[in-house]
Amino acid sequence: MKALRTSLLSCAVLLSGLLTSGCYRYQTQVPGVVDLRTDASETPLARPAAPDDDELTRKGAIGVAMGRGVQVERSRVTVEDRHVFLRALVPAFNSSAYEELDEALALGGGLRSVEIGEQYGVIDVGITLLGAFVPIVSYLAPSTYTFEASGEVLALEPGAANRGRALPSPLPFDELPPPPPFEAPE
Amino acid sequence: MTPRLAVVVVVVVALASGCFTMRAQVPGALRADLEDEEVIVGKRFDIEVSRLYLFWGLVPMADENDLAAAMQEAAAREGADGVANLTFESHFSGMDFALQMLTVGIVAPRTYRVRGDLVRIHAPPLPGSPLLRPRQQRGRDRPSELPPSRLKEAS
Repeated sequence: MKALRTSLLSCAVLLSGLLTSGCYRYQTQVPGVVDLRTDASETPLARPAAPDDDELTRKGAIGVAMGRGVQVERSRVTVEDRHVFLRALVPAFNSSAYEELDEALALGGGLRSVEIGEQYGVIDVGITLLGAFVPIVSYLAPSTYTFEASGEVLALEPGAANRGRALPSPLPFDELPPPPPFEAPE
Repeated sequence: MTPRLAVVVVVVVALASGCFTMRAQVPGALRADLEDEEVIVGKRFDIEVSRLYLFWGLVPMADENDLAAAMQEAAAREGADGVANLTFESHFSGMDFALQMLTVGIVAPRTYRVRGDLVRIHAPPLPGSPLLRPRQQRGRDRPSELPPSRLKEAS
């Protein structure tokens, strides 16, 4: 009876953890400012080189385990970041793709046709299964989830580093003066 | 092709495409060329949607543009030009988990949340097709050509 009560208590604790925190929970802050006024379809594109940093552009086994990072092909940049979880609840490491997104944005100063997404892909399934068969590691039940983003690199002049910082709000929108007129180029 | 082989091929193709595959388009352009004083932060917005997947996440059932449309609608409603401090979050909530358990994974929702600050941008818009309807007080802000100083020569 005592053993049954202990088992039920353990199940209740685990279930409450799952129900409150959620499985495979991760969040990524997207750097930069999303300008919704235009789609930037007529803005010239840049053809940047891939970043030199091995931590951001990953290859080989590291690329498989943690995602390929920032990849550049002509004017298109893709970000692949693999987040590692323990028992699907605890983010272990590489839990944010902010650095990769920041680097992708810095390539040209802007991105258009941006897509962000995620998937539990074949490699994630493989890593989960591999972790299940490794002694000691299997107790932690490691698993991964893949974050993906892509966009076209715009050729813009880099401005101040206002990426990812919370900007103060001096006045509500209704009390703001109208913005200055923009002069069309000659 | 035998029926067994056909089933194996279908399963392999389905697994290769990934489970819980989600793509969300970010409308407009993501810019890092703005100065601090050009971005005025206003209201915070918080959008949470639950996307439905079938058969253990293999078959997505939701529209890929729902988050983009919600973001544009929030900006248009508040008279904003864009979004800053955008945060993208996803997880299996308690209800998602419970529904998956009850249906043995045949119905498998996942919850996505997008948060950020609605901003007004006191800088020229990038050349392109307009996305937001111009407000009356923004009549002077018609999308115009970006000044040459803002553009780099394409490499």
